[in-house]
Amino acid sequence: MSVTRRCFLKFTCGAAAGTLISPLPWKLLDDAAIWTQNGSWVAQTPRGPVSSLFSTCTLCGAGCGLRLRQVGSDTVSVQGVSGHPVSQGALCPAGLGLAQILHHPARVRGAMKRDRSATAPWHPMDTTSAYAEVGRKLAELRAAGRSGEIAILDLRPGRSLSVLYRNFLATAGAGRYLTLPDGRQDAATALAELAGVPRHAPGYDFAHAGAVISFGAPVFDGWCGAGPAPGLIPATGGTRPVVVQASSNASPTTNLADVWLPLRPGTETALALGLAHLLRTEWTLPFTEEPWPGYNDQVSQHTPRRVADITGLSPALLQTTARSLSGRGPVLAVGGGAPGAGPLGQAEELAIWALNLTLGNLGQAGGVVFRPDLPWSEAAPVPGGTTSLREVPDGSLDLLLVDGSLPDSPVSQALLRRKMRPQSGLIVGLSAFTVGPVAEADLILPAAGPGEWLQDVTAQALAPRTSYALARADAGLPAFAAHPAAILERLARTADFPTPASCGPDRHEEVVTDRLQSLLSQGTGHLVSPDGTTRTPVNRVASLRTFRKALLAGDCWIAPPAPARPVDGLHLTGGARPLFETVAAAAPGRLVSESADPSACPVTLMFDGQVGIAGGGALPPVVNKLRRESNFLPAVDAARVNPDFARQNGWHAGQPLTLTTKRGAWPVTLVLDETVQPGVVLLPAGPGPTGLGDPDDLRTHIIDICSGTDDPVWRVGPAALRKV
Amino acid sequence: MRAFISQHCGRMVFLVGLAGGLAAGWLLFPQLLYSRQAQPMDFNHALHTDDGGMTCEECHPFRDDGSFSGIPTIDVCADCHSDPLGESAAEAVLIAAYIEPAQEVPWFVYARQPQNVYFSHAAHVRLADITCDRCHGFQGTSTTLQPGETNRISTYSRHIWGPRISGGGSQVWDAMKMSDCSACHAQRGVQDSCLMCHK
Repeated sequence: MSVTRRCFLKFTCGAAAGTLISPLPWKLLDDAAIWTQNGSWVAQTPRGPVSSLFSTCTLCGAGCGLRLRQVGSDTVSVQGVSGHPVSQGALCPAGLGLAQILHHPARVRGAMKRDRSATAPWHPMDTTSAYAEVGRKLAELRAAGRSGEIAILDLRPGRSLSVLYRNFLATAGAGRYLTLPDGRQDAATALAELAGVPRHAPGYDFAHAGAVISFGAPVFDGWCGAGPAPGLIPATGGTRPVVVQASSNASPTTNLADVWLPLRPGTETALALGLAHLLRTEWTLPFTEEPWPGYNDQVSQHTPRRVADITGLSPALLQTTARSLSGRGPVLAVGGGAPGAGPLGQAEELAIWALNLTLGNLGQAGGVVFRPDLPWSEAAPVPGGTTSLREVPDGSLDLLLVDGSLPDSPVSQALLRRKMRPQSGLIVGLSAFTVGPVAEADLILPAAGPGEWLQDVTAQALAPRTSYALARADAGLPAFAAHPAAILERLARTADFPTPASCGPDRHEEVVTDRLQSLLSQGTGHLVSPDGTTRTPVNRVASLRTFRKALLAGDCWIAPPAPARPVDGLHLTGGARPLFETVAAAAPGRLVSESADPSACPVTLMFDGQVGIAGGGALPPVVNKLRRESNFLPAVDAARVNPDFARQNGWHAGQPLTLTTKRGAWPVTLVLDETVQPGVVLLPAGPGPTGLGDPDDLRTHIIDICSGTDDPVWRVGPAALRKV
Repeated sequence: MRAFISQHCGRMVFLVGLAGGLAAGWLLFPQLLYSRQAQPMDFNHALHTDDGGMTCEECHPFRDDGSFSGIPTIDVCADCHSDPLGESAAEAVLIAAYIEPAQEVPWFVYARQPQNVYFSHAAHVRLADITCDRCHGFQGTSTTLQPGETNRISTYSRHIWGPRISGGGSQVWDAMKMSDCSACHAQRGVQDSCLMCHK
């Protein structure tokens, strides 16, 4: 018998059939799939003792409590802390992925430079050369008496590092210290402008309010990190205030609110004025009535009928809502915008504060309380002054150092670039990531990321209680990154500034220690354990060392409750009339549908975003995975419109369309959503699912799509949709 | 006979090939897939629990913070074995190689889950009242330690997949795959979202 080709083929077929009905190919496939997740290219955490510890998140200013699970010295998972005095257990998607963010593809692992264009690729640069280039420019500006063209944009003022930024600018000469107020800071500023008297920082006393009228603020799902407003949800057995949510879009907060007022986009001013009108005509609540010039005229004109015409809400709904609030105790009107959907704007905030003034709740329990200040000042004033970035004249800066500690800060990159001298202006990022405001930089110096250096966290604007916490440096400083203060000191030395040590890491440590000593010396407030179960009066803390140790272990210092006493002498100043002219101008609404292109359909563009990822922040892989696999969040190009509106325009779900604004055109995919109002397009604010893997994708800044102008209200803007 | 062979030659060749494929898949493949690794020293659980009258919790306790201590450190062994207890070879190795130089014993952990899995012993033992043998079988009454077996491709312990190459085994504790976890959760009506275990 000879082996023929036919025999060989039959043997092979038999062997193949035998193999296929054995586990071999299927187990190999399974193991190969696992192997791809465990290869040498995948970071592995060393085995070691598992421990849990507490810290504070520094990805934004909320100061949420963290429970870190560590294997050896490596953090492998992050959770919120139930009962935490500030965050009450909530944590946003970015915070949950904190351990992963440090390994994000957008992480800066060395000095980088690129041509003067936000779309140009980054090139690695020798660190010494990078410091030399920035130092040379600093020295030239100082020598030429142009130190006023040096500025630092501090994205989170009030930290100990902020003191060092000021010191750096002082030693430079007349540098400018710039801030970028967010919606809540805008709200606090609006009150100061309205009342015209120096006050302590205002805070909303949700815990004692009988009713809350929120103008789009995410009071249930994004007030403090991703959590509810402090005190809004009482402990077991308590009753929460009635919540009326005035919002153009559906959201978790609108779902949880007692009443949802789906007003037209940009008509919050009219609603606030209309509620003030109803307060005077329908409510039985006690209220303050003062002859405020301008404001009273506006209130008188905003009858329910007129407000209904502007907002799209029926007069009956307005009246029913107003009556339902009567007799429930203090009523609190809440502004501040939403981190993911944008700030409200000055006119809206003024109208909301005026409503609170009318309600007479300033200084009252359940209203607006005034928090005691922290026992330190913001250090020496900066010679060049402290101002908001928006107020800086265009083309007036030649060197801008951008603090990168807030990677999801919603700043318009176009606005940033416009402040620079057209040819010579240099934007330098001191950052751990290439995202957020730093995405517009020309040069980046690698800074330590969250958890890699000791930071302090103070209470956010509008928080009801003053607080202070420390975020421990657990991750250790990587070799390629530097403490932000070390970057400042090295730049100061390179530029031959006097007293460079005044902005170095040692000075930072001294400032933190001084602050702790101040809190200890003041002797008020409590140290509250991370889970909120233990409260130790500060005057019983034995020593500075014990105090520091407790804060490093995750405790928070919480100030005593703000005293509830009526605010005497709070009145509208001479500047009120022009301010109310602003309100009057905004009262008809910010409806902005317009299109010069007859083939395009004019729409109103709005955003909804989740705190932590709005503004182009670095998205941690765990969130990206959830987003991709669960449709938990829509893709970045998903333009949601009302189904009836789509039908009228001949559009269908999944259709590719082009969204145009004055900033340009963007391809979007149509998604039908019955909760979106007709004529409105809702875009998610934040990077898309593919943004994680390719840092270049993160450059598209969602806020620039909408605005890019001087108008800081990127909450709502004009746009047009047309077929591709 | 020759005629028979000639007539059925093709089928026989096919069957030989089929048998070869089956043998390769069911018998040879498992031998090649797993590498065997002897434990650094032998350990007799039964001697400790039966003769020594010890309970599982004495060497595998929950810490004060609720976390599970897992495999005892050498300090725990040294509490009793600072001086030799008996004359076995394992006792000599324990004293000379680990207790005296204060070195941890590099045990092969049969039940070690991959790094992307978060497993809380406290939730399962304390809250759900699940006994150790539900997942670890008769390990607590064993008289000797079996060599560890590691999948050469996935690097997982064979105990995750189970002793059978087709998966699982004859006992409920023979496998610890995700599907086994999900099945138990479903049986008990416990939530099993992705982030419960993959944090």
